[in-house]
Amino acid sequence: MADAKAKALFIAKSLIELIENDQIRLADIEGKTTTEILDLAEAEAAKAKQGAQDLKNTPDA
Amino acid sequence: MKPILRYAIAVLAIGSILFLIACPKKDAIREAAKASYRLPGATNDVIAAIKTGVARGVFTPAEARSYGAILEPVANAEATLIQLVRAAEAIYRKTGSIPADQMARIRLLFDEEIVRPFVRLLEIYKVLSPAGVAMLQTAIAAVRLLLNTIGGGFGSSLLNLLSASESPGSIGPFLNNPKMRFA
Repeated sequence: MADAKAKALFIAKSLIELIENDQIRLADIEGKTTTEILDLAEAEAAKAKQGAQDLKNTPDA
Repeated sequence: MKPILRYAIAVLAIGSILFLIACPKKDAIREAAKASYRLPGATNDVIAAIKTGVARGVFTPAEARSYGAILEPVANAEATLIQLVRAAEAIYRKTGSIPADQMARIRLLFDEEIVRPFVRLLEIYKVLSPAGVAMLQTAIAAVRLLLNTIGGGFGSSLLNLLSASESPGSIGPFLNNPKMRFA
């Protein structure tokens, strides 16, 4: 298991990536219609629901 | 601080301020749609990071399960929120206006069922951080700002509350009082 500092750095880098990815997502939807954006949002939301369920069911190593 | 992080914070801050100054009514649905897209994207990033963390031994499987229990209702609320925005768009197309109660429902869902657990997750992360890891504190602050900016898409302004919750001990009432509103 990683030590506390390595864990904190890992989380920090992940959060910074999240912010960077958000800017990419914003750029990706430039020029798209509202309906197209909502369609993309639904696809992301479906992926998030599945991903969260997968996390909840993470098996013990 | 990394240049990219400084840039991201500047972009988010400017975007937030511009939204608070003026958001044309006719663009409200489009802004809400954009925010609806950004939210599950951010959730997917968090989920992917936790999965990677488990694979690398940063998180235990038990921690991953507990994060999943926090994020599952968030993901469900995000899906519901998209449906509400779609319904608001349909009404807007017919009537040319957005019912205030419809936007209020969207704001409430965002504030109560998405921001609240998301901030809880950030608080857990903060507790995990040993003293002296300033990078994590900065990243958490930046994500709070991001949440506030996305909230602008629903007419929600969380900045004051999110800033207030930075003070030690102040997050408790924020998380535990279901009656507490953010806007």
